[in-house]
Amino acid sequence: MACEKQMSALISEAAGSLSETERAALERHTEGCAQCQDTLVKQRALWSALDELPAIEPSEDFDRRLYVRIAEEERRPWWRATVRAFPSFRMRSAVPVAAACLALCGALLLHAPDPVAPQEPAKPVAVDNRIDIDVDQVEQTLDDLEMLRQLTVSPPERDVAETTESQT
Amino acid sequence: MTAAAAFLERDAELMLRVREGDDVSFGLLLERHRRPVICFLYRMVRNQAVAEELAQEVFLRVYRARASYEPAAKFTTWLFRIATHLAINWSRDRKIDKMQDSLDQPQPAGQAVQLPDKAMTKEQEMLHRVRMAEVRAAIEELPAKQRAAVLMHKYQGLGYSQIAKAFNCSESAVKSLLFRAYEGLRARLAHMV
Repeated sequence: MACEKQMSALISEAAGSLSETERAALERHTEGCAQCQDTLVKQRALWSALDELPAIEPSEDFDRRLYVRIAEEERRPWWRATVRAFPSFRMRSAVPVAAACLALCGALLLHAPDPVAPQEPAKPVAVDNRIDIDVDQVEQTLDDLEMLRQLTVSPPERDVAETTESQT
Repeated sequence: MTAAAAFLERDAELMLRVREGDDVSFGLLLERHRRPVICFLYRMVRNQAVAEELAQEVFLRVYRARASYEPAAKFTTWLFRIATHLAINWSRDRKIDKMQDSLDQPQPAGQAVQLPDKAMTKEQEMLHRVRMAEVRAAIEELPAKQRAAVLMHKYQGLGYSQIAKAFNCSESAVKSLLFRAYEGLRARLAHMV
């Protein structure tokens, strides 16, 4: 394993992009570091091996096809460009999202409570204070009333009749 | 000013002209960068038809973005950033679709056919083909980001800072990414290196 500090220098040296000063510094290091020396040799060999991968030539009609697409693009309506302005929005992701929304709406409709008629404004409710009434006090009051009723006895009927006869 | 710097400035200059509506400059940019972009994408996706389709999308996006172009970064960095993004997305979608081709399968139609060098003997030609297939397989086995970094570094000659901008990450992250990628390649191609 090469020294971590030398990793970019080793790669750059194999790529031939080190300056003279940098190369001299790396050489000084590799003289005393067998692992970096080994990595450098292997990296140079790898660099050559990667040249085996050939390049390709573009198709002859590449430009023509591109200009056709550009021309088509410029004829498209404005809203297509607007949709494209949101690269995260694609049909591929929009379809499952739309399906999920529909399923959610369906579930809500199925489980929603039955529609009810609009309620009239609530009438003021009489305050029930019975709970606050002291029972003993009520009994006491009833007893008092009974006593008053007995005390305030009205005159006997016969006395009234006698008085009437004497006047006549 | 070095030739390379002049070349890069020329790209920005051309793109600024495209922004002003000069389609001839777009043609010149296409001429300069068509091949490197297609080669990069081909090495990423290993299919010429797909590589060209993606390359068309790259240039189409450049054309679409012409009105808002600002020469903040190098034109090539921007170009390879788009190309990398498209190639990685394509590879991801392909994995999802489980359409990964086997390396042993014959090359399908539309894929580049490697013409043998006429100076090679039959044996050399066969050896070359085997080595080429091994290198290609080793690169393909790399994770998509490592693969893109190696292709940009090795074949497009992009520096650490340019790759970092293309990946929108730090230069040290790119160095680490490349080191791991080359380490993996050295291990896979140990018999060749």
